[in-house]
Formats: sequence, C-alpha cells, structure tokens
Amino acid sequence: MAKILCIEDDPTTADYIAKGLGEAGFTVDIAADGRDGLFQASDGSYDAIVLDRMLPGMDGLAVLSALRAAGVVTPVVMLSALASLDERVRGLRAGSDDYLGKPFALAELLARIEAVRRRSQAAAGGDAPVTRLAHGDLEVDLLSRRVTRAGRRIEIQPREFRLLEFLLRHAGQVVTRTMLLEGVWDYHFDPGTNVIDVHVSRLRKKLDDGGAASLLHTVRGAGYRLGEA
Amino acid sequence: MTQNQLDADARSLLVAERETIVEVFNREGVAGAAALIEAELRIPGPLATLITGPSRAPGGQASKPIAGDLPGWPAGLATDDGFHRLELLRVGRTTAEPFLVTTKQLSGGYRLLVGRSLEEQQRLTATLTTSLVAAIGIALALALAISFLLTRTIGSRVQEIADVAGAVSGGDLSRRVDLPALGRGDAFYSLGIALNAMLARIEALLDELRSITDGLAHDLRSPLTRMKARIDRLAISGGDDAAIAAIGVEADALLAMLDISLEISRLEAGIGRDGFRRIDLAELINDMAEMYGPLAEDNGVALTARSDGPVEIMANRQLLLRALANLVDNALRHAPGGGEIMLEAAASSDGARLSVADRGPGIADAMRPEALRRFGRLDAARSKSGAGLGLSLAAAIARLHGGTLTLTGNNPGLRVEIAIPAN
Repeated sequence: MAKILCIEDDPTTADYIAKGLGEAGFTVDIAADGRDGLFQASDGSYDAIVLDRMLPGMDGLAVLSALRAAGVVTPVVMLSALASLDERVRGLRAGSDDYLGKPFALAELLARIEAVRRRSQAAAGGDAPVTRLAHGDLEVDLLSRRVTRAGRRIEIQPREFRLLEFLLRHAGQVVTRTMLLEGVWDYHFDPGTNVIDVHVSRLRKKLDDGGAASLLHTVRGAGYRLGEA
Repeated sequence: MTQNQLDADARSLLVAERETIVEVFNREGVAGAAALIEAELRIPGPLATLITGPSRAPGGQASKPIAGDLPGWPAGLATDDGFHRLELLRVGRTTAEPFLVTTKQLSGGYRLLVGRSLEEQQRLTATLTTSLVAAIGIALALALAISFLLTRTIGSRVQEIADVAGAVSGGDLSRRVDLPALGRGDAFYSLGIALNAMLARIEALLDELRSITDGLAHDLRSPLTRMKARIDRLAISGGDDAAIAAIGVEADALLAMLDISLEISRLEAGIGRDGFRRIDLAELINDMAEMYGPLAEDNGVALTARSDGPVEIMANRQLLLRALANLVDNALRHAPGGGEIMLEAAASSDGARLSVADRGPGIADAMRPEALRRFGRLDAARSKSGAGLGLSLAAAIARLHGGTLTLTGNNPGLRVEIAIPAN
C-alpha cells in the first residue's frame, strides 16, 4: 500500500486530507510542523509528500529546499492559499513537483498525487524518450502525429492531438479539468465555464466513431480518465 | 609671479645691454663705448647708462662721468656684476624714478652702470591689482545676489508643494498643486503635474476602496445568508444530498467572488507588472478562438479571430488571456444563438488594441459605468450567473498594462476594446 506523508499544521485540513487519501487506498502519516515533517520525510520511505506552504516555525519552502538538499527525491505536491501564478512558479522552482491552491477539491489532490508519482517512477526508470503512445487498440505516433484506432486512421486537429497525448500519458489515471487547462492549454486560471468539457467530448466522439468501445470516461466530480471502463 | 617674470625679463635685457657696451669698450676703448652710449641715449627710453673714468675723488674711486645720462656714480653703489634697485634722477628729468641697475668694473679703472626703469613695471602691477580687487568684488556681489534670488525662487515653489502635501496628509484629499503659480515648462511644473496625478490616483483608490468594501459586504451577505438558511434547515431535517450540494455551490460562488475581488485589488496595486514579456496579440486571439471555438459552436455562435499580421506588445500573457476569457464568456452568455463574436487584434498609433465584439443586447450608454464597477450588475434580479466581476477584472487588467477598457455599441451589440500603450 502506498504511503503518503502530509505536512499540514491545520488539524481540520490535515484530517480532511487523511480521510480522503485513506479512502482512496493510501496510508497517511501526518506531521504538524515543518521540523517534524522534515525529520519524517528524510528517511525517504514515502511514495509522495503533501506539503503545506504556510507552516509554523520552518516554512514549507524551507522544508522543501532542505529535503532536496538532503537528496530526498520523493515527489512533493505543495498546498498553499497563495495560489497566484507567481507563487506557483516559486513553489515549483523550489523543488515541488506540483502546486495546488487552497481551497482544493480532494479529487484534484488525488489526481495530482497520482500524476507526480507516475512521473517520478518514469524518471527513476530512466525511460528513453517515447515516440509512440498506445492504449488498447488506440495508437498514437508522436513523430508523425498519426492517430489510429484498430488500424483505422483518425483525423484530428493539433490541439486535439495535444489533449489526446496528455490523456494517454496519464492513461488509467484521473485527469482533472485544471490539470488539462494547465498542461494542454497553459491557462493558469479557471475560465469558469465548461470550455474543457466541449473539447473532451469532441475528442471522445472522434475516438469512438464507428462504434468502438469508449475509451474516454468522465469521472463524476473529478474529471476524465482514458482507459478501461 | 608676474613680478618675478618681469624682473627676469628686465635682468636679461640689462645684461645684454651691459655686455654689448663692455664688448665695444674692450674692442674700441672708452671712446668707442662713449660714442655708443651717446648714440643710444639720443633715443629716449627706459635705459640709464653711465660710464665713469679715473679721477681723484675722495675715497679714491673712479667717479668722473665720461658718458651717460646720470650726473654721477650713485653713492654707495658697489661695482659687482649683481643687480640693484635704486632711485635715479636722470639728466634732464625733474623726478627720480625707480631703476633696476647692474654695474661692471672695466679695465683701466673705468666703471659701467646700466639701468632699466621700473616705472612701467610698477604701473602694470598697480593696474593688475586694482582690476583683480574690483573683479573679486563684483563676483562676490553677483554670487550673493544670485544665490539670494535662487533661494527665494526655489524656496517659494518647494514651499507651495510642501504645503499641498501637508494638507493632503492632514486629510484634505481634494488639494492639488496650483500649476499656473509655478510657471510653465520647468522642473517644478513637471513635479507639480506628477504630484497632482499621484494625488488624484490616491483619491481614486480610496474612493474605490470605500465602494469595494461596501459592495463586497453587501454582495457576500446574500450567498452567506442563503447558506446559513440551508444549514439551519439541515440541522433540523437531517442530511439531504441535494441540500448539501446546494450549500457547496453557494460556498464555491462565495470563494470565487472573494478570489476575483482579491485579484482585482492586487492588480490595482500593480502586482503582475513584472510578468511582462513580449507577446503576439494576433497569436493570443487565435489561441482564444481555438479554446472557445467548440463551446461557441455548440451554442450556435460563430467565433472568429481577425488580425493583419503579428501585433507585438509587452504584456502579461496569462492576465490578457484571463481578460479575454471573461469578455468572451460574457459575450457567449448574452449573445443570442446564430450571432457572431469577433475577436480582433491590431496595432495602433501608440501601442495595440484588443477587442471582443458581439451581437447581443449591448449595454445602454447610461449603464456602462455601472457595468464596469466591481459587482456592478445590469440585471437587478441577478438572474444570470457570473458574479458580475468579469468586466471589472478585465478593466483592472487593462489598467495594469497602463491601458484602458472601453465599451461601445456594435450596432447592434457590444464592443469591448482594450487599448494597451507600447511602453
């Protein structure tokens, strides 16, 4: 069972995270301040760390720097009420793998933890740069930009291709709308409408055209997932 | 120094003169020397010359004048090769003059004296001294006068500005620097203009702050009251999924309102200016059209982006995207099915222009100021969702870029234009 360390000083939030992650199948340890968190994280046995930026005593960014300086490569998702793009960039530069503004939906946190874990595993495995992505009978050639399903060629627009690539790289995982906005369109704000939904449903229509089994699923209250039903 | 220079000149002339006579004396004897002296003295000048010969005078010195324009050997004057200053009365003059003389002992008991008048030299020195003193005097007087005038001018202008600043600090925000009193064109005028602009901005910001806190308090009250009502009912009637979900929706709406309001305040404070990069507005609106295209299509609205080539400007890309997203979102909300939304990017004489134009109901002239105000809503019933902050945020983003957001009619419809200056 995967182990998560949550470094968060507010008991209500820590509890909320622990319950949510627990229900998703993780074992969760909580540290209530920076120093304890650093101590616990240093033995390197966690699969991911959820780190609050505003901590009493040693603040989140300092904990992060210390962790990285100590050679701990555990993926970190940083949480902060400071959610502007500048602060996000600062958090990422300091060594976190993702940055989430408060308040956040648990589904969002879960999706991002999965994403950083997978990225960190891929990096550790030293995978060669991928030129082909596939799932089931769906094949995508990243160089020629050819998309085929069961051998049949599918015509898609450049942006739809980027969306498909993102979904494939996160195949089997929940991808939230915010992740898509950031990762595919480089929009760091919430447009407030269901703009993303329309793009996804068009892609889904193209992929499922011809009666093939649906690969792109909507996960209620969270986002989308490309994979088995 | 001048004195030394003049002396040196006089001495070298004297030496030259003396040696000429000595040379003639050595060659042609006293007669030749005498003849030379006589010839020279025929031309009036600053020289005094005397050659004396042996005679039996008291003390045994050779003192019989042979040639020259001096009556006799000056008493006590030594015959060395050195230089002496003394008063001499030349033959035919009425007053004695100061001379620089040099003497030489000649063979055969003869003595030579050659002198040069210092009167001219002394006159020059006197004139110089007088001029110098006068010049210093005038300079001092001028300096005093100028510094007095300058202090008075600067002092009074600075005082005017200091008075205004003091009054504003004391609470009177309507005070401004009186520009005509400063006189056009100089640095103080510029300072006055800048200060007035700053004071106007402070006054505007404080007004805005007042209206925001009023507006925010008022607008947040409604969703909070609704939430409280639902929670109270839940406490009585127990858990009901729909009711709980409804509370969640109200909470989300509240958070969104707060976030955007905070964002606008940060923009007004200038945060975001350091994220400026060179961006192409034509590429930006194409991006936006691509993002909102499918949604517009589903709503039966044609969304197009138009530009004549790249339009480059220094700006914050994320903020401009946000502003445009708000405007396009508004247009989609209000534009009827079958209409069109046009995005345009163009260079202007002093920068660039972005615009979003729709064929919706538009906004009447009278309502436009209200539309731009934070939380300003045009439908009193607040029927359409949108928190009323979209246009206000877009306007704040325009202002952060040093630009403006204007609303005009699109005949029919609404055209929102963001103008951004080049620097």
